Amino acid sequence: MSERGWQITLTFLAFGALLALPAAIPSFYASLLAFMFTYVIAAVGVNLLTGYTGLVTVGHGGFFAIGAYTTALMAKHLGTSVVPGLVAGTVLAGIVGFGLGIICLRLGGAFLAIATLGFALAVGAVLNNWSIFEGREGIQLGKNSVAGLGIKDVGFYYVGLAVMAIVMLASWSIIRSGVGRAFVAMRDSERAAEAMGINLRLYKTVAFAISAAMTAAGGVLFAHHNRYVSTETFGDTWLSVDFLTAVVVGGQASLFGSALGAAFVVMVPYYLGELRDFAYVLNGVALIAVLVFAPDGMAGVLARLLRRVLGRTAREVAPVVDPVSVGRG
Amino acid sequence: MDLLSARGVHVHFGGLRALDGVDLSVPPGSIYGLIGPNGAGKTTLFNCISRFQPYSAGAIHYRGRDLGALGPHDAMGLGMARTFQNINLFRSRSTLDNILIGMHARLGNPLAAMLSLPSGRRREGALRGRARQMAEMFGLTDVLDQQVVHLPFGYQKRVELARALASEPTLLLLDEPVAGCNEEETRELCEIVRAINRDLNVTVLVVEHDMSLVRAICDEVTVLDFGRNIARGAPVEILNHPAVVEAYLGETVAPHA
Repeated sequence: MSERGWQITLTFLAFGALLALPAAIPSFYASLLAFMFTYVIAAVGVNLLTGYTGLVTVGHGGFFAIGAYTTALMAKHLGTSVVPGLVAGTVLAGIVGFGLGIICLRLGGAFLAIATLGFALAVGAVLNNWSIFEGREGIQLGKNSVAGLGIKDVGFYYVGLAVMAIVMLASWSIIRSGVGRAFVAMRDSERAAEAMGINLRLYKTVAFAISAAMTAAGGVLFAHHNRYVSTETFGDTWLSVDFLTAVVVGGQASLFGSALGAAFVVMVPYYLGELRDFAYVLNGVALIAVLVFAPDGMAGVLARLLRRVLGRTAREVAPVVDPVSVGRG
Repeated sequence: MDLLSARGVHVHFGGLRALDGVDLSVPPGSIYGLIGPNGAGKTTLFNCISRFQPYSAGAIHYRGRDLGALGPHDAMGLGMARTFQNINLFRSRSTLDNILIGMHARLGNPLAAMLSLPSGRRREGALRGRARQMAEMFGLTDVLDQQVVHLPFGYQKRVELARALASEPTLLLLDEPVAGCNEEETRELCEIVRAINRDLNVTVLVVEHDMSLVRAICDEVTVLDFGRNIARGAPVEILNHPAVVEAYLGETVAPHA
């Protein structure tokens, strides 16, 4: 089987396993996994912008918050639940993302990282100070339902799985298209990309918008999962840092990597329990270790292992990713 | 009518007049040389044409269309393609992907492409077929799936040419195509450029230092010095032109240079 064949087979197997899993585990774990899915969705969005397009963002927690608060306010004032929140949250975040993309057009590298960090801080400040968002008091969401049917832990697990599948499929479709090639072209060389007829302004802002919308979908689900939003979670920049960590540790420009990385940043603090604050140290160590020893992240390491297991000789195996082009995380 | 014409183009960098009223006219079907000593303004004019450099006065027309208000990404859509002085490939991508990115102007509806709609997939299939043909034409079939950063220099040069021609341009702009090439590679490149001009019916504008290449392939040349035109004509006449010899004084104009 070709490498691509293996990728597709393993993807189907993984989703098949995830479909069957709730039957085999307590509903508490289904709920934990659904929580993880919201991070995976956010990380896939960040990956599209940072991994593929090369625009480093430390501000996507802001879009996550836009998704979460959109659906929370709708739930409070209109009595809606998951699906209307998903539609409104992604559209609104997409529009804000487009605007932020325009503002950040001329920025790259560390300057862009700082500017996006500023965006996350600004969103946090608005949430803290504008009374409709209820600050640290927070907003309660009612019971979750889809199409009028109430859902509990396992039901919500499947909603999360479905949204994650859709976001990943959309991301995959974009990446393998000419538009995805244009994103990567801008990352590798802006000048050459322009010479090939790629409109940098348009494609960068579109990448920002799509990435923001995807991340916001994660935020919408996050709000419904916790049935509560407050600036305790959304008032600072830790979410943004978590998402970027997930993308870099998992493997830039890899969808599977985003899933692995998101699992890492969710599960490490969970298993640390009382020592959860120690997770920030572990995340930092993981970031440095990946950037130094495996710039293509956990997904890259696994891909190399897989190739070895498949019995190819070392000579045939070309390096998966060129360290120079990805070391910019 | 000329395919490309520049009239009185001015570019100033602070107090420095990089281009001081330069004219250029490239007839269709030709291989046209733009030469001059270091700092003459060749590359600046080249960048004005490919829209990477704005100019303060004058006009550049391509197929009768004024380029003044256009950006670098518009050039490809009009039928102009360029290469870079030092190879500028999408290094993390394969040969095939590089050529496919070169076809960006023919992507069609981006939404159909992104969503893998039937029309987008059909277009993608057609582009891939065409990209493979381009690769074959440039002897790149063996390295189609290899990351370009790992390819030898000569291959990278050919990938860049294939990428530029993938959009089927009418005018190909080459910025010092043999910079860094040895004699063998230079000869090979001359052959390729001639073939592009003859077989694909592409007009070529080449900025070059290397006189052997200019002599070998150019139908006509324009010589710049200090941002002004100093001569124009067939390569043989030009290389003996008193103003040109003076401009190059101190540099060798001998055949092997």
